[in-house]
Amino acid sequence: MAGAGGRQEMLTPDRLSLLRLRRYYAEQYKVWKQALDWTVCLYLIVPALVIGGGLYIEWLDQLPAWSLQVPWTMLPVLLFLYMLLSPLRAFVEEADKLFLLQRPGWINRLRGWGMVYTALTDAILYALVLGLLFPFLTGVLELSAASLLWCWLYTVLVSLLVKVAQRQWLEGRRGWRSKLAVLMVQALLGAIYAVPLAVLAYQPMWQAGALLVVVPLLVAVVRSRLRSRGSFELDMLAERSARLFSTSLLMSQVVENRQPLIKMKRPLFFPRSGRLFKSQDGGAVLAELRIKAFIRSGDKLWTWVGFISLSSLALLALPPLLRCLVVPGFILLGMYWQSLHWKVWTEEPLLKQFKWEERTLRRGRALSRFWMIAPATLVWSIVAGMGLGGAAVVWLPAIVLLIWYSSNRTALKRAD
Amino acid sequence: MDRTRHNNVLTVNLREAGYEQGKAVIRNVQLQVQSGELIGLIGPNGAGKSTTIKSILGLMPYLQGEIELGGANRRYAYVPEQPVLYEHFTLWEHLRLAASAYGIREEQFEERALELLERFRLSGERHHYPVKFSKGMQQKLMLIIGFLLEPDVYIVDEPFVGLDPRATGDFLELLEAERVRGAGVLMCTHVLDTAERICQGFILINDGTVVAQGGLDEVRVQAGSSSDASLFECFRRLT
Repeated sequence: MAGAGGRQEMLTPDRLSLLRLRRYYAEQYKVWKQALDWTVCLYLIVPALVIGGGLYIEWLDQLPAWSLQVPWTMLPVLLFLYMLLSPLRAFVEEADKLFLLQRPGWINRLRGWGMVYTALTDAILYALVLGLLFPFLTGVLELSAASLLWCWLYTVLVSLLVKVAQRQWLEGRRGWRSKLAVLMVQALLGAIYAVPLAVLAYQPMWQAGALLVVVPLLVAVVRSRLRSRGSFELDMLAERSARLFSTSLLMSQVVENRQPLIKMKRPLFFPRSGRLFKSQDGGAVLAELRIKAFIRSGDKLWTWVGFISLSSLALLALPPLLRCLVVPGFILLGMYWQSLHWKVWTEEPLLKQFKWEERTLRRGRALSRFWMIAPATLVWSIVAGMGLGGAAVVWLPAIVLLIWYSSNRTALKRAD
Repeated sequence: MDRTRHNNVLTVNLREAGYEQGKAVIRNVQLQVQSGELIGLIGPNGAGKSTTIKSILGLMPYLQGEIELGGANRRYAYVPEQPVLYEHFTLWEHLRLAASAYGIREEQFEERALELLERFRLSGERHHYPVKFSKGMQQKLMLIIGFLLEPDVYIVDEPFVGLDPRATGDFLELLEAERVRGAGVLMCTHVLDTAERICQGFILINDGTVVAQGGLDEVRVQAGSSSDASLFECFRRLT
């Protein structure tokens, strides 16, 4: 529906579903575009695809020894957990309460397209999973291609059955008795999925029989959903969280969204509210507050420590010279992540209410970035120096830190 | 309240309603709204007003009872406390969607929508996003949608929260125009002095059930208050 007020087609539920789907993808594109900039692509995704693709091609020729130890028969359990945890789309919005809710035909049509969309996207996902695992499932478990095809179809149908049944009867229950009942029904649904797969995995024709049982069940729950009106609020909440899933996933790395387990009266770090910098200009104060907020935040600090630890372990696995080439990449990634944190932190209402000068913000950002990334730079360069051996463990970190210091001095001068 | 059923635009008989079967939040809530009547739904926080409204809208998972819409179109318009609007639709597109949902033909829609926007001096904002409007303007938009669809009853939840006196006055004027057209209004509010001034009848809810209803005189009797007691005094006695 374009914005012009001239001649336009009136809306239909089908067009509205399409509009909402388009908008959903536009939103997701925007979110992921912000997160996946060229540094992430260059240092994470492209190498992962190249290395992963090469390894996978090797496995196609010869199965790796570890694949024989993997309990592939547990795959249905993982798929069933996905069914329970992933949403059933409904394409409804909160504003539908205003007038669309009185048009059950419209709401049902939106829900109907939501079910079709859910089934299609899940079908693609399950095809990808089973397709990627094809060499192992056929090689280790000795399943035939026909059998895998039936498993895929059965998974797609049961997945929709589980999601619709959950929305209609299980979600939004309160109280321990209800929750216990929900668990029992979920266990029953799990059995409906896993038992036929386990028993009939090597007999595709019998699996076809299992489909004959599941299809009428699915038809019955879908019809029940299209007849009922009670789940609008659940549909709306599920739709909202589906829309915000990518954002919350990405932002969870930079925004505090969990309640701390232990609430403390005083901070563990810097408990006396002491200064970090001699200088007390606006930029230094901002840098100090930002560093303190980061260290005291818990989640973000541990993510940062985890990143430094894992990346250092990854460095150890590389040849000595390659380590030196990868360190700048890690520093760039660290800078990118810290810049996201800075962006979110400076958007906090308390900070935004003060009119910070651009110069102050630039100085605060550069100063805090220097001190937050310096420890990581030191650790990575020591690991790289260890690879080269001898005194490199000392001079390499010294050189890297000197470069880091110089580049930040330039940034600070530019900020002033 | 002496009511003739044929004139009711909303008849509610809720035996029980809640978020879960067997765990009722409200019980025995009976109310009627007649054509051209403004009824105030009043009660303290947590008394069950929102649950009553949600039940009427069909949003409660557990409900035993009947909700009957009357009037020519058997339609309601809902104006929530916090306006909910489509984030990515312009004002014009909101109206178009409402018209589409109710099968209003394109030519008829354009004529009526343009006339309404002109009347409410919103032609200049036709292609603006209403989510960026002030709360007063957003509520005005919801009433304009109502004008377009000609509902038989308005269900209005806490309309005065966050409105300045001028916006409150504008809102009440629009609502009055609809009441004069013949629409009934069920308005949930905490602003008792305004309610006392504009409502023809009241339903007082406490602890999930109706404790008094009728005109102000009837409420005074049910509250055991004096004949000149204000609605506020009756409210204090009953809740």
